[in-house]
Amino acid sequence: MSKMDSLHGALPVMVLKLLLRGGPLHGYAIATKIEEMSEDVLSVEEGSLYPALYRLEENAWIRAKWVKTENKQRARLYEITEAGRRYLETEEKRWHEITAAIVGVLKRA
Amino acid sequence: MPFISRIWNALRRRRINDEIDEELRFHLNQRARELERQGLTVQDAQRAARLRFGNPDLVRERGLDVKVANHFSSILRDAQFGLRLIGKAPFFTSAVVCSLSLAIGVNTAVFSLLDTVVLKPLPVEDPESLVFLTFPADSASQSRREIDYFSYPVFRELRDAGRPFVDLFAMAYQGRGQVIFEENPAEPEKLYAQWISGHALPLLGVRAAIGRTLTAADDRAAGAHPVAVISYSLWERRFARDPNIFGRYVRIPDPEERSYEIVGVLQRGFTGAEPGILTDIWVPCSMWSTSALRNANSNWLRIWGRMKPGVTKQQAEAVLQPVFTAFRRTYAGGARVGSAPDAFERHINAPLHLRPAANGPSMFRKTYERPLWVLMGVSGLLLLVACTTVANLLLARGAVREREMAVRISIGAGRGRLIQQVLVECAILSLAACVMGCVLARILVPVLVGALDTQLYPVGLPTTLDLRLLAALIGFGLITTFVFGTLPALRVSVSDPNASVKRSMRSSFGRAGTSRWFLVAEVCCCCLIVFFAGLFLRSFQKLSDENLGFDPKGLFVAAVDARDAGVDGPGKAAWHNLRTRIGRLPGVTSVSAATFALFSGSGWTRNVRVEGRPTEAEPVHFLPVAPEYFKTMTIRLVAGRDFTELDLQNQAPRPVIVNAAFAKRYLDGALAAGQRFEAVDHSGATEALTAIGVAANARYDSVRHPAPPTVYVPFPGGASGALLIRSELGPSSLASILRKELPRAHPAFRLGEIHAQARLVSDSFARDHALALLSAVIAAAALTLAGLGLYAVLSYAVARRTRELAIRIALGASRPHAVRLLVRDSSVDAALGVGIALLLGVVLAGFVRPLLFDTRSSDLASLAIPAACVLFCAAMCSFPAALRAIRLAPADCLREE
Repeated sequence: MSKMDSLHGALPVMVLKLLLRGGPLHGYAIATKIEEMSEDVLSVEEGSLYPALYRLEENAWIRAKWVKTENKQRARLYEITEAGRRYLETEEKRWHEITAAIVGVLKRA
Repeated sequence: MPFISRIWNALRRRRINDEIDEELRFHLNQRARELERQGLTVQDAQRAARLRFGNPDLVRERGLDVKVANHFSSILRDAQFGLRLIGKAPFFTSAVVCSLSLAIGVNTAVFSLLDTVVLKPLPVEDPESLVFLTFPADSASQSRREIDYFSYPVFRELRDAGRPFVDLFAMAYQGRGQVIFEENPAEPEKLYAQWISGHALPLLGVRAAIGRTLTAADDRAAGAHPVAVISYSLWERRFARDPNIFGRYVRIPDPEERSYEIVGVLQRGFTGAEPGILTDIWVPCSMWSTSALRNANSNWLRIWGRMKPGVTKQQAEAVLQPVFTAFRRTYAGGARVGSAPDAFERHINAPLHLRPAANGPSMFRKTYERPLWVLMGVSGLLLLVACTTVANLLLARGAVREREMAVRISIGAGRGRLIQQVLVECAILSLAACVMGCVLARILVPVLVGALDTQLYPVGLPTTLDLRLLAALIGFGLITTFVFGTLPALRVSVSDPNASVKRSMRSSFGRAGTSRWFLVAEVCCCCLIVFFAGLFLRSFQKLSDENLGFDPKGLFVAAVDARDAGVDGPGKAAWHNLRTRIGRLPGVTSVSAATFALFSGSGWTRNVRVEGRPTEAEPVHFLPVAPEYFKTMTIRLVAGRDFTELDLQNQAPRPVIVNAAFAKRYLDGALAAGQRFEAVDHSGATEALTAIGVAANARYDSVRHPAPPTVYVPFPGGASGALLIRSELGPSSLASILRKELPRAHPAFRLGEIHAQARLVSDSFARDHALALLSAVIAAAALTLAGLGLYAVLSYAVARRTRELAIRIALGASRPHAVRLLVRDSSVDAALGVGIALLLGVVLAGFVRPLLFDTRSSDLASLAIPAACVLFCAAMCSFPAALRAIRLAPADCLREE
C-alpha cells in the first residue's frame, strides 16, 4: 500500500488548504509542498496526486487553467473556488474532530 | 454539474488525454530538473523522477476515469463507426430511412389529430373538475343519443339550484357568420362567435392577454351589454396585435345584426372549449335575441359546470334532477300531445347526467373519435410494416456482416458491446427517420385536416408542434429502434464465431439470415391495412352511388338574405319576381326556392296527427318549398299535383305535398283526395294541412338512412331562403350574375354563399371520404414497404445461394425448379401472413362496423380483394430475384467463387 493511499481522505483537504494559502499552484508544486511541510513524513508516490486533483476539479472545488512558464512549457495551475472554500471549512472541522477523538482514545487506552 | 462535464469531456476525449499527458510530463520534467540540480546525471535524474512518480500510464487511465464518462464515450465511438458504415451503403441507408420516416411521419400526423380532437385536455384551469350536462333523447330509435343543449330559462333555474355543489355556466352552440370589422368593412370574415354566460370565462379560468374578460357584470340585463372579447389568434391575424384595440367595434349578424365593443383579448392558445371549432369572438348570453332568452323551448346552450371541491357527481345530480324534472313537466308542450302516457312520463323524468368535460364536449369528436382511432390503429400497423421491413433489411445485411462480428468476438469484444454497437446504429437510423418524419408530419397535418373539412362547417384544429407531439414522435422513434433493432442485435449476440467463420468459408446453404416470422408479420400487417382500406373504400363507393331520389349534379344552392326588409322579408311578390327573373336567365334550366336546401345541415321537424290514428312520437320532417321545386330537384311526383303560385296564399287547411314514405306510414300508401291531417309544434300549437300530391322519396339530410317521412309545405318567402338553380353555368359565373340580379328583384335581397348541391351531399359523408382516402394512402404506403422488404429478402437469398443454385443447375436441375426452391419459403410465409391477417381482420372488423355503410367485412369481396392485392404485390416483388436465378450462368458463378 502506497503512502498516498493511506492518506486517501486527507489528501483532498491538504490540497485545498494549500491552494487556499498559496494561491494558484501546479501539481508539481503541490506535491513538493506537501512533502516539505510534512517534513518528508508524507512523501508520496507523486502520480497518485493527479486523479485526486481531477476529482476535486470535477466537483468544482478547484478550477484549472493553462499558463506558459519561463522555459516555454505549459503548466496547469490550480486554484480554489468558492465552493471549494466552503467544502474545506466543513472538512477541516471534521478532521480536527476526528484526529482529536483518535488522540483522546490513544491517550486513554 | 459533474455529469454534464464528463459527457462533454467524452466528446473531446483525445484532447483530454493529451492534456493529462502534458501535465504529467511537466511534472516529471520539473522533478528531473530538480534532481539534476542536486547533482544527478540526466539519465539518473529522469529514472529517479519516474520512480517517485509511479506508472504514468496508470495515472493517465485513472485520470481519464475521473474526467470522462467512459460508457458514453464508447457509445460515441460506436456512433462514429456506425456513421461510417451507413455512409458506405447509401442506397441501403436511404431505403431504411425513407421507410421509417414515412411510417413515423404518418403516425405523428395522425396522432397530432387524435390528440387535438380526443385526448388533449382543454387549455383551461384544472380541466378535470369541469363537467357538462346531458340527458338521453326521448325517441326509442335514438335512445343512446345524449342531448346536451338546453334553454336559457332552465339554465338559470339549474344554476341557482346547483350553487352549493357545482358552479354552472352556459356556452351556446357556436354560430358562424359574416363578421364585419369597423375599420375595414369591405373585408368581412366568416367567423365563429359564441354566446356565453357571464361566469363562463372566470369559471373556466381563462384570462385576458390584454384588456379584460367577460364577467357576470356583462350578463345582467337582456340586450344591455354589447361587448365582446376576441381570441388571441384573431388579434394577431386581423389586428396585428394592436394594443389600442379597445373601443373598436365588430358587427355580428346573428341573431340580429348589431355592433359589439371589443373589451379584451383572451389568453394565447385558447380557441374555444369545443375541439373541432376555432372560436374567435365571445359575447354575453344576454345579447342573444330577447325572445329566445325567455323561451323555455328554445334550446341553444350547453350547460357546463365546475365541481366544487369534495363534491361527487351523484350529489350534484341529486340536487339538479328535481329542478330539471319540474321544469320539463311545466314546459312539456308538444310532447304532451297524444303521446302514450309512459312515453310522456319518460320525457318528463329524463335523467340528467354530469359528464366529464376535461377535453371539451365536441360534435366533431362524436363524429371523428372512432375514425381517428381506426386511422391511428392502421398507422400503427404501417409502423410495424416499416419496422419489419427494416429489420429484414438489417438482418439480410447482418448476414453479410456476420464475419465482421465473428472476428470481433474472437478477438475479445464483449457481446454486450456488440449489441450496443448494433443498437447505436439503429438509433442513428431512427434519429434520421424521426427528423424526416417530423418534416413529413408538418406537411401531412394540413392535408389531413383538409380531408376532414366540409364547405358548410370548416374544421378548425389548433394542431401545433407541442411537447406532447414531440414526446409522441420520440416514442415512435424509440419503438421503431427497439422493434427493428432488437432482433439483429440478439442475432449478433448469439452468433458462434467458430461456426460463422467456418460457414462463410463454405458459403451457406439453406435460408438467408432473415427471420421467417418477420416476413409473416410484415405480410400480415400489410394485408390487414389493405383489408380495412378495402372496407372503407367500398363503403364510400356505395355511399357515392346511392340513389338520393334527386339529381344533385348541376344543381346550385344560393343563400339569399332579405333581412333588410324586416323580420318577414320583402313579401311573396318579391320572391316570385326573383324566381321568374332568374328562371329567364340564359343557361338556367329551372329554378325554385325553399327555406333551406336538402343536406344543408338545417332541418325542421314537427309531430303529425292523422284523424283516426294514434299520434306517433317520431317527428316528421318538414320543408317549405316554392312551385317548380320538384321539377328543379328532379323529384318525381307520384300522384296529385305540384304547388302553384295560388297555393302560396295563406289558407286553411294549408295544401301540402307528402313523400311516399309519409304516405306509406300515415296514409296507408295511397292518397285520398283532400286527405286532412294536423301538424303539432313543440309548443303545442296545431296547424291543419291537406295533401294535394305525393312525391317520390328523396333523402333529406343523410345518405346513410332511407328517406324519412317528409311533408313539403308552400314557401311564400321570408327574411331568408335558398334559391335552387339547375344550370350549366359554373358557380363563379352564376354568383356574378346573381349578385346583379338579386337587387333588381328587390333592393333587400343580398346574396349569401353559393354551394353546389353535389358538394353538400358529399360533405354529409365527408368522414367516410376522409377515412377511405387516408386508409387507401396508408395501404399504398404499406404495400410499397412490404414489397421493398420482400424484394430485399429474396435478393439476399439469391445472393447467398448463388453457389448452391449454380451447382444444382450444373448437375441438371431445371431452372424453374431452382426458382421454385428459391421462392418456396417466402410464398408459404406470405400465404400464412395473408391467412392470419384475414382472420384478425374479421375479428377486428367489429370496431369499424358502425363506420361502414352497406359493407360486410366477411363477404367474398372484402376478403378476396386484399388477399389478391397483397399476393400480387408479393409476386411482383419476387420477380426480379426469380429472373436473376433463371438467368444464372452456373459456370461463371462457380468460377467466381
